[in-house]
Amino acid sequence: MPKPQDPTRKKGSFGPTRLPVAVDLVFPAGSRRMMITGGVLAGIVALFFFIDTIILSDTFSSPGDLSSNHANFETECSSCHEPWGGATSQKCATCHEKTNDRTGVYSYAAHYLYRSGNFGRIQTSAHRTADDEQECSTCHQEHQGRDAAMTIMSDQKCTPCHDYGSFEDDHPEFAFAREALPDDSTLAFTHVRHTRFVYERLQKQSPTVYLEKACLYCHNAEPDGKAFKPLDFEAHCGDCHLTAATKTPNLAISDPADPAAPGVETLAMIQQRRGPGTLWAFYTNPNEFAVSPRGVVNSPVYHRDPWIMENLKQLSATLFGPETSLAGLFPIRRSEKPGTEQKAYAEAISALREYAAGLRSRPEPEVQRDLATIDSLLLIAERRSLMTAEALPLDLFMTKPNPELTASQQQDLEDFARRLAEPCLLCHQVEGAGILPVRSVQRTMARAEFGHRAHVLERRCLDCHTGIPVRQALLNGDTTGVKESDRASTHNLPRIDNCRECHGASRASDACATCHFMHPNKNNRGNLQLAVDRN
Amino acid sequence: MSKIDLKQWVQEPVWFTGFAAALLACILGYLVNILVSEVNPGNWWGMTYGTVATLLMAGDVLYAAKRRMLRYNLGKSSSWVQFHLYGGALFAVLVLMHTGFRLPVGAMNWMLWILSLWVTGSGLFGVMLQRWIPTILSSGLSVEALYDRIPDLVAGIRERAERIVAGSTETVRDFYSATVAGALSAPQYRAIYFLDVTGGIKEKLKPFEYVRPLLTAEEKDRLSQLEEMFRTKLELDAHYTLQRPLRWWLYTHVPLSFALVILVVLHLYAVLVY
Amino acid sequence: MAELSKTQIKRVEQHKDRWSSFGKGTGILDIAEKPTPEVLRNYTLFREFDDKFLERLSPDISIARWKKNSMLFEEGSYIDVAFLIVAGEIQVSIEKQRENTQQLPIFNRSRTMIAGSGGLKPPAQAGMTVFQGQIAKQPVDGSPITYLASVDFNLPSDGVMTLGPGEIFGEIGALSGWPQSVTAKTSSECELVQIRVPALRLLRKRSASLKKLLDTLYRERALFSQLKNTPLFGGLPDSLLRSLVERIELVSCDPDEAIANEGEPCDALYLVRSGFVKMSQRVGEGNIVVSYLSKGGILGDVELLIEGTAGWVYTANSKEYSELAKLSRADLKEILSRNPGVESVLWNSAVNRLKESGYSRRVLRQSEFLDTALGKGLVEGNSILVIDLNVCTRCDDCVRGCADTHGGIPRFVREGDKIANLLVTRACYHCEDPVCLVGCPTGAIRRADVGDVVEIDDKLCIGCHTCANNCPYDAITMLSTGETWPADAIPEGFRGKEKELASKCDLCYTDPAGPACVRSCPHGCATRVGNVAEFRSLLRE
Repeated sequence: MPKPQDPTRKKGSFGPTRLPVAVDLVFPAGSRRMMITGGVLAGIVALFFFIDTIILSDTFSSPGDLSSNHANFETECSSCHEPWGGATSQKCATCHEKTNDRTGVYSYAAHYLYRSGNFGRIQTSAHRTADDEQECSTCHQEHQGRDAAMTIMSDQKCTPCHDYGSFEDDHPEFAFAREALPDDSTLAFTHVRHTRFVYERLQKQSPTVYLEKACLYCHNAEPDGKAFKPLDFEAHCGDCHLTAATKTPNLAISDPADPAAPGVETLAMIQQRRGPGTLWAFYTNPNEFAVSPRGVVNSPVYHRDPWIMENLKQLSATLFGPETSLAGLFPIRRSEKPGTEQKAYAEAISALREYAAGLRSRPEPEVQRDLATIDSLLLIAERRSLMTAEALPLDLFMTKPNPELTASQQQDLEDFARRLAEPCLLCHQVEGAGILPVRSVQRTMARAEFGHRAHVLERRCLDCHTGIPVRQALLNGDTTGVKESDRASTHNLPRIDNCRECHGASRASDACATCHFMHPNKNNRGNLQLAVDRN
Repeated sequence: MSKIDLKQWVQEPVWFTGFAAALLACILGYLVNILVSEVNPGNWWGMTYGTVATLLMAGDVLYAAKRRMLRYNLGKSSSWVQFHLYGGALFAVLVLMHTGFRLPVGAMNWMLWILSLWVTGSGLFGVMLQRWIPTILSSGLSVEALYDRIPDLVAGIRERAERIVAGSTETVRDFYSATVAGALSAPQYRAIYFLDVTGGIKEKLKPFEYVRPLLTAEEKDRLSQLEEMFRTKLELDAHYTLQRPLRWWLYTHVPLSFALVILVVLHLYAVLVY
Repeated sequence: MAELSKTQIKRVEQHKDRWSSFGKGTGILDIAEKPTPEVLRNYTLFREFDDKFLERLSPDISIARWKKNSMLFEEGSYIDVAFLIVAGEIQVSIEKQRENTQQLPIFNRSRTMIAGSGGLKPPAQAGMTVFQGQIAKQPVDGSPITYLASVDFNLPSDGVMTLGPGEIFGEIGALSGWPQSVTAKTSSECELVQIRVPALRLLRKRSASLKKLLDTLYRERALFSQLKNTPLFGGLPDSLLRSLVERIELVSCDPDEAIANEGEPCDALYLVRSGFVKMSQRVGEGNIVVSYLSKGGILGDVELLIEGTAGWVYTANSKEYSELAKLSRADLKEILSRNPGVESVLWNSAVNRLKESGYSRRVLRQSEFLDTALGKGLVEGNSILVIDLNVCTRCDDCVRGCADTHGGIPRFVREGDKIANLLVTRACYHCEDPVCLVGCPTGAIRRADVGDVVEIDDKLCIGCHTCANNCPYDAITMLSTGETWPADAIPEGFRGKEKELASKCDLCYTDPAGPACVRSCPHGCATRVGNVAEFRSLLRE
């Protein structure tokens, strides 16, 4: 055991200085000072913030100036910001959507509404849910300063969901090429021949004329230069086709006693009948029809000749039965792709409405009577359009011929219809007892937009539209490949490789927003109500 | 200056490894972010960085609270400090990632950014001080003293010296009042101690050597005692000088960290409510 | 505050009377303190001494009369008193097999390397021979005898022994500082002479007959089982062991007393029973410290095993008070011839000793370090708070942690001896053999029930300054309670004075988390060191 220490030694305290030192060590004044200083600083900051927020102009917490369009609201945060919600689309719509939100203009359920404006291309999306909706502020960011362009979108706004890498690498081939879609215009047409025709005439006027000027003879640009107007018979074809010499063959006149027998109605019969949409009969020159007991010959034949069309309608009605009420108004392709019934309905309704709209101002009671019929049909059609595809009656497509007719009778009717439309067969196709509709709108791209105007100074038509070798055929006399490709069903459109020749990483713009647009075309807004699927 | 010991700088290798792993994860995450999406404090990536940074900051603040609740067993202080240091460093990295390594825009954002970097920077400065000064202190000094006690200790030395000198000859008394008394009057702060902890002691003691031959044996003894006391006092000066920054650096770190915390809270308020 | 164990409750009740540990209201019927020489001479034990000596003894002796069936002391308590039965009978027994002979060490295991408990054996460390390592504080597995070096009685489990007039008990525990291994109760009204350690020591020195008596008792009661449980003698047959018990000489040393001198003939093997022995060797013109022995260490193994060593290779001095067992050369030879196993244990010890001392001679810093360790009491401590100054940022969180867990007042300050880069703070060392326990009038300072933690009970402390004065390491502080003793206080010396309480580090032993100082240090540089080897490992020269 160690020995006890000398008892005279001063013990029992923390050295010469007594305990208070120890206490000071434990709770030093310095620590208190620091906490107080810190607290004061924090208090100042908090005070400043709240004064600014509540009393002043609220700019302290602003992460940047607003763009000049919105600069007037800079001190009223609540014009865009909802409490606990951020900057919601509702708030944007207050100004940017003056019609109410029923039209859902800025609701891009899965943003399938593209600026192409071709609402016929709208496909319903299998997984279109509210989750696919994006808030405006996801892409349109404010607080980037006065000069910020809010509408310019960088690729980074798109790639989080659409990860296509870059245009050069991963962007998929255009749909028409990828799926090898045929151009489903139902015309028969060859470019080389017609272009040569026009070209030679142009050369007579000006020997050094560009070949592409011949293209422009028919393909007239829209005023904005981006696209081309639809082709029109009267403007582009009428000079050469359906001349005064054109006439139908001699066609048998229909016999009321034998409805199944193929025959046409004469002008007088049509006039007498007074069916819907037959007013034209009263304004038609009866001398155009050479009526004899053996038959009728119509000459000259016009484009969309009303007599031929009306008779084809009657033949269709005979062939497919009178139940197909809508069929009475216009011929529809029989071979519609399954699954597109609703689209067809929408097309039908849209066409009907257009038709009716044209007639509303006409005072004639017959017109008004027709309009009444149309309206009631529209009602039925609209109701049906809300059905699911499975529930839609397929008779719209006239796939079932009239069961009372025998096969040979049907065949006779169809043959007769072909004879009736003989002048049309140079270009058109007849199926059943109807002329297949021609798609005049030439736009193929559903998801993107192409502006010709930006390209024409650097490229000529035939630099990109190389599907049909027009240039080789006309300038070089090389006709290889012409027979295979020169038809209307060829999509004479450039593939993505063509675009990539100029558009790439360090060359012409390859940003998503160059070709793709998110918002619908303002000009087509009126049609949106029809187009947007309200499921 | 003593040799730099790796063990000194990385006190607990497990935590360092964890930090390195976390840092790597952050960098990788950021690279993925750049490739996949835009770098923006407002999108999910940016908000994640911000959230994690806030959580780390909250953890750091908790250490300050824990220090005042030592009576409860909340874990080892050394572990908390490791979290505080590495968490703080990661906090700064995440703040930079949150802003996309861009300069901030807006008054509040500037304040946040500057404060974040300042608080982290001052913290790292403090860490450096804490690793460096103790090695200096223990390397060259034979005495260890409490900072708060130094004035009392110096006063004690002075009293003893005066007592010795009082019963001594005139030579010694003169020598004392001329050379030594001044130094013993109070603790002195001399920056030289940062570079050389012995602070030029040899030079300071030279006068003693000069006087020594002039004295009798008994007085030589007294002189040796004085010399010893003087040496001790110089070492106390070294302690005074070197321990002071260890206390005072906190003034650069703690008060502004309060301001930072408040600002972060307000920032959260602004982001959520607006 | 942990639940008071039975022993603590008993002590509190026993010590209800604050200014005497054997006060009225306990089992004591009456007590006479500071008996005069005349009174003392009534007892055979004191007859041979002169008055002057008896007056020296008198403050530490009291004569008490105890009621029947009162508890004197319980197993596990620390008593610094030996009892001499004058009249009556005392029943000594082991009340219970201690439920948990393998008490968990109080000290944070990662910070100290205490052997034992759960069968853990410490690895051999520098400065400790294998032998030392094995018997350092190792409770024996399954044996009814709990503590090794303090076994008073060789009782079978559940056994009872009755002691009558003229018998002495409790002296081994008192002298060695180990907890009592038996419970003592009065089985009839008794008269007891209660002798405290200082008086006991003086008596033992002076009185050959007392020494002999104590030796005999020790041999009879304890030495046999103690030897049986050492690796050195454990394998010997009982008969040999019994004869050994008779032949071993028990040696008590004063501070600095020389046990062996280098060069002199070596005639015996010594086994250290308690205390520390400093071993030095001659180098050049002086001596350097090369090694030291603590409880269980062997002195003389080198000299006796290695033929041709002419005399003691080391000079051995007792550092403070120590107790040794001496075995003559001849006896040792006899044992070795019959039991080769013993020789291998001795060889291990000798080889380690040589390695250690050789190293200390070559690397003088080691010698210096050992000297410092012995001089500053580092060998003494079971839990010394050591701060690594290379890492310490002087933030005082350790002190703050201590203060926070102790009602706002810290039990230590960050000051103390500086050894190279380590600061040995003046927080209680929890000594192996605490001096502070000696002389406490109320028993307020004592070891906690379970092990080595020394603590002060505030309810019993009267602020007499004895422990604070005794502590060689300045670890005990006196705190003012703000009250003053009334004018009619029984100890006259206290009247009108400020009431103080002694306060010291209690290792936060009631807190499962361990010492607050260690866990509060933000840099992990505060550690509690349990032995010299650990200390050495923290040192950076």
